Amino acid sequence: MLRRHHDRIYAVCRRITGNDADAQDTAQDALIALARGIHRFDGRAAFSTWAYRVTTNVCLDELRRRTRRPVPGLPGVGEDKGAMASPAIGAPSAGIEGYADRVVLDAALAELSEEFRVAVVLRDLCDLDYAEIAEVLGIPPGTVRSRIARGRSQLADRLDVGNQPMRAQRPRDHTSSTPPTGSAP
Amino acid sequence: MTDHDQRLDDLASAYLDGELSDEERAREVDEAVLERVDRLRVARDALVGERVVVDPARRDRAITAALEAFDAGAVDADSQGRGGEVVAMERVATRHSARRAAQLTAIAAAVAMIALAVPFLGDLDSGSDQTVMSAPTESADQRVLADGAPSAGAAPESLAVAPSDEMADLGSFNEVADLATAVRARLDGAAADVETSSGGSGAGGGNGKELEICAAERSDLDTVVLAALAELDGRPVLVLVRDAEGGGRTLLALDLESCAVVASQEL
Repeated sequence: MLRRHHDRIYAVCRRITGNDADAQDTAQDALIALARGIHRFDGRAAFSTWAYRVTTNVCLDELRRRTRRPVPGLPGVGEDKGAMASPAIGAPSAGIEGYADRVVLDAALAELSEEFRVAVVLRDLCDLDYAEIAEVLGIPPGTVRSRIARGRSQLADRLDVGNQPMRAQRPRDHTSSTPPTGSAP
Repeated sequence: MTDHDQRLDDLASAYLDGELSDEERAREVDEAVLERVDRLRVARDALVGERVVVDPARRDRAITAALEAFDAGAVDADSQGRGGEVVAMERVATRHSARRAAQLTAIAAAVAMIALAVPFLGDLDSGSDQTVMSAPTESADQRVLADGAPSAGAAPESLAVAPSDEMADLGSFNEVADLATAVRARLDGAAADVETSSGGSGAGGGNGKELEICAAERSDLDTVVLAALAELDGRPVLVLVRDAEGGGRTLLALDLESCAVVASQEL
């Protein structure tokens, strides 16, 4: 079971912590926490949901520790984020494949606030629905929806989406119906 | 970003996730929302599409560490037993000692009660209804209390002293005559002055166990009308007053450890 979930857990850690070194540490800590706390899994939720909750908590702990020490490669508090301005996804100078894309995405994610980043990662990487994310984070589903929307919007801004040619890689719409109007209810 | 923009993003994001409410789903197509759906979709797909590469060696190490932690946790749980409580051996020994002491006390109490009940059984055999009625089943008001004087209206003669939770401390005395004086005062209901006039702290009071123990040791304590503790010539003693066969009362001072009579005096 650990082997089956490891890669996704690592991906979550990688996206939340923003670098490989912390991702390796937090992924291992998360696996250990899962192994030690397996007796606390009561089966009310899916194992994956519980595993993501444990993983998220481990990552958040790491982020809080990080605030007390500098992390190479990520913008710290008060640093000039302009120095790490993300090239636009799809821009010819940046490319869309390989290492460059990874750097772009890491930088864009790192600029999101922690609460937006975690919500977006749980939704888009872990494929949890709003109710599951609400359970993992201990917040109302409405707040989850708002955080995901704002997180995605800010991510799009960081990636300069809309000013560059877009490339949808893996369309994954959950509904084929037309989107609603934006008029106020 | 305005509130209107945020609302559009909120709708577009929920649309992407299939989390629209029925009311939201029923609304007409809005071009502004469609544009945001496309924009957010690109951001989402950028995140989803970028593969995170996992080093197989690191994966194996992480899993191995987790399994070792699991095994260590299982060993800890086994070593701590069902309750998970680690108990020092000293506490175990103390607990066993206390349990054994409690067992011995219970046995002694049972023996004492039997010894005290023997004369009433004898009276029962002789057909004395009066004695039967005065057996230990009587109310506390009709009994002579272990801590001293009989209660008001109660006849003290020939009634066994019931073991009490608390026994009075008569104080410290150098001579048995002084102790006898204090006992007489207590039997006469002047108990309030006894302890203070004795001028000492005495044996510190008892819990009735002393009487039970000595009653188990001796067979002549069947007519005790008063039981108390005192200190006589520096020795802690159990003070008993019993009815004498030929009338009158006798004061007995028993060594607390051996239950041997260390002094006696006719009252």
